[in-house]
Amino acid sequence: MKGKKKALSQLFLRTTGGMGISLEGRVDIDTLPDDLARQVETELTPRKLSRVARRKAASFVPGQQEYEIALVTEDDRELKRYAFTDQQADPALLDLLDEIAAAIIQEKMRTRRARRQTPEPEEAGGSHALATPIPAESTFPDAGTALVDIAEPPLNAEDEHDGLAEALPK
Amino acid sequence: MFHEHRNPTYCILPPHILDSIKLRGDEKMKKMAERTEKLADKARTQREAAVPEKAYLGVPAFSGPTPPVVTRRVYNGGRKVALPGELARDEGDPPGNDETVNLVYELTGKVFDLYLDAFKRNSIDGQGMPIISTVHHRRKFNNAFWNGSQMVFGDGDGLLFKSFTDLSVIGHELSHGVVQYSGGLMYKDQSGALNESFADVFGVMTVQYANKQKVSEASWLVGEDIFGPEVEGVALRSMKAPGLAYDDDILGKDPQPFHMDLYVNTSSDYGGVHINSGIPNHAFYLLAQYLGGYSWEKAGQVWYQAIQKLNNPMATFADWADITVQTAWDMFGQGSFETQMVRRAWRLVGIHL
Repeated sequence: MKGKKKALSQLFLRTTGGMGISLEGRVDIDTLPDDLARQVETELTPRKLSRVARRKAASFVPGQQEYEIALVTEDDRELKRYAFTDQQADPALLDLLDEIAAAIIQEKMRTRRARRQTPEPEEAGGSHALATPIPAESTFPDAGTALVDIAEPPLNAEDEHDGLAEALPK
Repeated sequence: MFHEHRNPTYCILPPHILDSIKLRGDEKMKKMAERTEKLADKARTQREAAVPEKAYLGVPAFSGPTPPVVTRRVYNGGRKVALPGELARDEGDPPGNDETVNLVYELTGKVFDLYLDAFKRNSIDGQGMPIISTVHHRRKFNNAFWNGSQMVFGDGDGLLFKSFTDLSVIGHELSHGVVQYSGGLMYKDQSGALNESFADVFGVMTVQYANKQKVSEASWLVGEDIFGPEVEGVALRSMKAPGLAYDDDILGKDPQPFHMDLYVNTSSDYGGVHINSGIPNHAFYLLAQYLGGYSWEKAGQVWYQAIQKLNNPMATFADWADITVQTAWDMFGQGSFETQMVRRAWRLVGIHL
């Protein structure tokens, strides 16, 4: 048992639902407060998570919170992922997941603050770097395109053909 | 959760009878009872997947000698998971010490006012259903939701989210209840995105109604006041510019499309219900801009009457667009400016009727 506990080094958590808020991140078990790390090791075991994921839950309930957890071992191998909803999890597990999510956010905030306090090479040289660059992998429309198309949809020939010109107030 | 037994084959024997048979019957009877239970479970799961629970057809407008009055109950969840928690303020009670309780009490009244004044709807179900809310749900819980019978609000972690008791959020969550009691929309894929969109539309409309804002004056933002100070974004969603509400290295980028060409095919988020809702959201925004004035006067009436008529829990965007055009036709006439603007709004988001 002791060897198995040592093998767990990281935890990946993704959560989505409610108002549509999605959060995800990894956390090193070593960086968690002792109490929380102990709870993670005892409560988030493959056996317990499998049992939660197998529980029956109502389908497609608005606002339902979905969770996805992956346990990562010291050699950076990912164990099986577990997906379940708040309907399937017991209260103690939900409390634990809230604590883990908060720890992930705190760590990300710390990293961001540290990054912002450290001048980028370009900034040091006087150029105008973006504070939050748009991720390169983004598949969504860029700001310029969306604003033009959204704010001022042009009248076109199809509209006039549809009788729009006659319908518009004079 | 409600588990209504409607299937005559699987549910003719109530659970307590089956329990009794399992306890007292012989081996053959026990096996029959267990088999019947399994079949009933299977049927229930299939039914839950296909039809929203507690689905009703559209409710008639209120008409009576005395106007209905709101019944609000706000509970304190005590940062625990169990719902609803401890009753903190009942209808008519004076304000207490908990500011969140008082705020939710006040704001749920504003949502009730919109539905009653503008749409003649008496509360969530049209029959005076009490509006139940729980605040202080769980610890550091970054969300709010409608669970089928009440609204639930977390306090946020104080870093990414400072609060969820924003009027547009409350209007959004309560409007999920209105959808549920107006025929229902299955919470998956396009029908799920329509469910989310209806909630967004009436969430922002609640803000506009409370502030008596014209469509040109409104922000069209959902969750404008929920982000913490370090988040790079203005709100959770923008109906005016879906996809541009936030771009934050922790929250990611607002994933909403504004046009069918950008429709996101995904299996997560119940098939992108919070993502693709950007398309019907933007169609409503465009319609409201074309019709001008106040959103609840014309555009909102079309959307509200359309959900009362829909009677299709699996509706696609095209189905919904079609019924909004039919509704505008019924309300304003076939060749009316309003009907043509409904068609045009849908066309501009890529849905051609």
